[in-house]
Amino acid sequence: MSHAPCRLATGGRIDRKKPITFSWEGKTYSGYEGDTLASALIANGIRLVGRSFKYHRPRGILAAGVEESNALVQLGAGGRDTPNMRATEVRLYDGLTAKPVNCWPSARFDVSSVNNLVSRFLPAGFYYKTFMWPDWHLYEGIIRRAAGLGRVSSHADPDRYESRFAHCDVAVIGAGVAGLAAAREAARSGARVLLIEQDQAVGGNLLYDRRIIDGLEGGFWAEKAAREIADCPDADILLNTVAVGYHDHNSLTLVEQVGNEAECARDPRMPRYRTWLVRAKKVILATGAIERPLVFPGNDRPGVMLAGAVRHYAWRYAALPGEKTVLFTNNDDAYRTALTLHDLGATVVAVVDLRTEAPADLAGELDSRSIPLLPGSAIIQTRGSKSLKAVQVRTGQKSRWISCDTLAMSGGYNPTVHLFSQSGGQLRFDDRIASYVPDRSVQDEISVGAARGAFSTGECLAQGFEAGGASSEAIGFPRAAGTAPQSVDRAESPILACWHIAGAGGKAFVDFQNDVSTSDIALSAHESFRSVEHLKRYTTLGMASDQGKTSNVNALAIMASLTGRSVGESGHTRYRFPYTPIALGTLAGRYRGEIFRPLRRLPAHGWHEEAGALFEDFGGWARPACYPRAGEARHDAERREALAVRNGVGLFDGSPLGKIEVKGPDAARFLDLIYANTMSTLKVGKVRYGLMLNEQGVIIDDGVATRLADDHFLVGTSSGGADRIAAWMEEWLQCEWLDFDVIVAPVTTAWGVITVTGPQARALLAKTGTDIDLSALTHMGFAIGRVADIEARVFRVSYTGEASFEINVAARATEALWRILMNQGEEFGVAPVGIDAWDLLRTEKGYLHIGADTDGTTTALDVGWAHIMKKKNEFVGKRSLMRPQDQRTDRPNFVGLAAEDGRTRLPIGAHIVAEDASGTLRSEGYVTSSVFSPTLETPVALGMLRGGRERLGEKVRLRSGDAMFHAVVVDATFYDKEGARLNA
Amino acid sequence: MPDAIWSGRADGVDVARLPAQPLHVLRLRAPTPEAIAHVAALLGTPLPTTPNSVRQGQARALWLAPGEWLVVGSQASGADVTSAAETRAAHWADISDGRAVYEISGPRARDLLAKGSTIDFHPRAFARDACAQSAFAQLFSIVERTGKDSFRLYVDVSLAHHMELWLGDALEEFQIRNPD
Repeated sequence: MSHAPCRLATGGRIDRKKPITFSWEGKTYSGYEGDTLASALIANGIRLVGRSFKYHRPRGILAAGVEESNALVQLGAGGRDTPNMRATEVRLYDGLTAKPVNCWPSARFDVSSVNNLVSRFLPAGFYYKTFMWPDWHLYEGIIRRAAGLGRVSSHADPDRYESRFAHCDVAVIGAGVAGLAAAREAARSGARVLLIEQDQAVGGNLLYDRRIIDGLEGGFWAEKAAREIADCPDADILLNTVAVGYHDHNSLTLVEQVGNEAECARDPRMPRYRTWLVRAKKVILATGAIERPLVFPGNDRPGVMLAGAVRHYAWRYAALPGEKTVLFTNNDDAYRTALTLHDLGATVVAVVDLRTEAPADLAGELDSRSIPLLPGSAIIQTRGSKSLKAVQVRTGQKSRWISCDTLAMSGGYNPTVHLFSQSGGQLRFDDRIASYVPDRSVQDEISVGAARGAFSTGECLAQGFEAGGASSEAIGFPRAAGTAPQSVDRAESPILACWHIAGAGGKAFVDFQNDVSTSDIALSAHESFRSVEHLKRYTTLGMASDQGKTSNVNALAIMASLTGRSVGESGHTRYRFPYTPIALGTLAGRYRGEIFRPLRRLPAHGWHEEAGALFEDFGGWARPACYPRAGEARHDAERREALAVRNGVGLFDGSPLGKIEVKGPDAARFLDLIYANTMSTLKVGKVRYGLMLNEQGVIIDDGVATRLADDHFLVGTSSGGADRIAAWMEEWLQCEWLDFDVIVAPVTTAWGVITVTGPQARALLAKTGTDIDLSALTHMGFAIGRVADIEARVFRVSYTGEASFEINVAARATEALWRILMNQGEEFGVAPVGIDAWDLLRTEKGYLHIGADTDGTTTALDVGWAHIMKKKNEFVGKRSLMRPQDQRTDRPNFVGLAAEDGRTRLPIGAHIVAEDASGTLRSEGYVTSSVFSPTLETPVALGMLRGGRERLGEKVRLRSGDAMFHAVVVDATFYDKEGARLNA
Repeated sequence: MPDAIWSGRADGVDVARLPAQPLHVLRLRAPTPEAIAHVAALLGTPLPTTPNSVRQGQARALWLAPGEWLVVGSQASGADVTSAAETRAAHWADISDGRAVYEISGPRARDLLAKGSTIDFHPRAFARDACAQSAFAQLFSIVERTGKDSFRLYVDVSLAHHMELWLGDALEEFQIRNPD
């Protein structure tokens, strides 16, 4: 470990009692608690932190905050290897490992830097032009290899991402001077306040600027204000939290950095990030401002930094970016950097001010420190391969080289209007600060302080204080007595808007991260991509992961001047979500793995699990597909289970079947309308199968209805239809038939359903013990009684073609009854039956499976239900079925298909084909269900065929992929056509 | 809760699935105030008519919709309720087996709830004896506030396993002990 050469001996908001060891590009360095990775790199004298995206030019740290465009690092290792983290946002921790992205083998020696030498052949839009000429595939391999920044881990992400919702009266974004004043005033009124700060500390520029507020040193004032806010019972401060999104209805997305890599590795319960979805009654945007670079040739050399950032590192972290610094500015703020550096003992070589008149007071301050001031001057070129060595200054017609290792530049400040713009607010160009400021609000928010273009501490305090009080007052929290905090500020001299300094040749960069230079903007203008949106896409300006935080306004202004417009006229691009890049995991939260999506469980799930069921997701339920025995293939299990039903008895868990009680004097009339067939003629204690149609006559569900009493029915729906049909009924009652006295009560999961089916079903039930007269309970009958002394509703309905008893019991009793039936059924060869065999059995019997055999076009007439049209009353879908198109005889009909050779199973989805007049093969229908029947020992298939009902006996050809099949059109019922077994 | 079916705990928040208890949905078609009063008298429980509110009597009644309540802890029979109702239609659906009921309590109960629900549970927005029907951790749920720091959640019994997976997972971050 080496001593950090650029760390000042004293000062800074770092904890020198807590040293930290970290690794950069494989070497070990030291820092302190309170450092960011960026400040620790600077303290260790590391200037070269990576290579630019396109030309692989050497780059150093530019900024100190979220706007950093150069210092992108690959952080951590293994599954926690995270690409493109901004070093300025990474809090230093012991054991941190990082390396630069976009360079190989190292930042100092990078193979791809050859791109820089051929840069003249890689102009803006180069990538698009490869699509055009001569052939994209010539370039594709090279471009794909070169594309992308950083490396995504190929391991599963072991990090924990939490998410939560939150509500507040006033959300204050940014805990700088304005934000603290606003939040404190709002919190004092009793309002619920959420103060959101992206930094690890509150204070904003008070962390590195010397200010006096209400007689207190600025940093101390900030801490005191934060304590007062935190002491309010309904106010919270979130640090390390970036507000990345501002959406409709004053909703915000925040991403909070919680644990670092090491903490998360130690304890898997520690969240790495927490996503907050916040609804706020009022939003106060105190997001501050971001400094603009100046645009001149060679402005991307490592050592060229933003002036505010240089001051930030020096004062807050006691880390000096360089020993000999030149300032280059068009405004007053950079002078503060010069004075701070000098006062900390660093050498300020010169202050180069573009303005001819430097402010007298600041000039005096420089003079008293013997710092040379060069007004009316500009830097036109820089020198140094991997680090800055000198700058060329032009004053009037003369120019000279000045030796230095750091250039701190300031082109003015851009208010951070990103969230305001996301909220839908309109911006306006303000010549006073030469940047965009919020103009017209769309949502219930207000921008204060630097975010609104008010850069002085006094203005920030006054605006924040006023907004905090007014916002809480507007929603019913009277403001407490008091006056705004005070600060004495010097009057700033006007900025000299300066967008581009034509220099002595070489690239002048605008967007450092995407390597967009002034010449690229000129090319874009030349090739008529003059709209700011075209400019953005053509040059990729502002499209890097920093979203152009430092480059946008400069680029817009340059384009404006190239096309003879004012900056306001040329306009700006939209600021988009997210404000800073976010890890994909923050969007997923904990909804991954087992809790990605809810899966319902059957009441007898425990038994099925013990029995070795193979569970699959059927309509959101975890249901046994089959119960394979040791070594048994799935297909064999299906066959065995099906044969058990045909030859003995099987048990099927049908609990998900929908159960809806329909009650009221109009219940029968209502069901006559809801079902295509008549239910009002059903006798109490009887069960009837029915189809439900939508207004188009299309089948939406089927099932059996049971009449419990004159005014009381139990409607059975398919498992998938349970919720849907209940809502469908409510919609008709609430929106169409308001005069119907009917109540709809879904009770699906209160009941478990065990279907006992097979020739031995009755014997099994009798042996198990029941007070129900089984001989009187015939097919489509219903009885209430006890089975194995458990209260039950028993229905004689069948989906297998065998005599079946559908036993409904209280959900909690289901597993107990299942166990009893399995024990009692041993002598009958009872077997549990999964969905696979269940589907096989119903296919043999030709029973329709809605959604498998039918689709969103299949009408009741298509499946042979013409008799319903004779029904006197109306029903949903009837009118549609009267249309000639619906009555055409060549519509697809539901039919059976028997393989001609009696052996080959027809593939599901195979099309029935025939040649048309021109000899082209056309589809006439398709296979919807297909099994090999172990009982009939022949393949069995169902399908839809044009005019199929009139084509029984016809031989047809089927095609699936390249294979052809031959079949005969038959009746859909293959098994027990007479229904003898059903009625047994 | 000693007789809880499932439970979990962390710093400041306890979660338990309560033992089965009578749960019914009472539906009265176009009820008059008198009809409501008659049923309330039979149940020994006032039936709230203020949306999203709860009243406690011998049982607990949660307002779900006009003419619709979730009644917790009543032994009344369907026949008694419907004959007392004197409305054009009345129904007493026994869903005791159809729902799983969870109690979430402790000073950080709200923080746990906020991970699954968009509802604002601040006492000014969701006071004691308030209830709501809303998505919770992707599930349809009914939620009510039973005390200063205690809430109950009702979800479909078929989703209980998912609910417990979610709750168990959600508790984990509250189980982290400060190393100091």
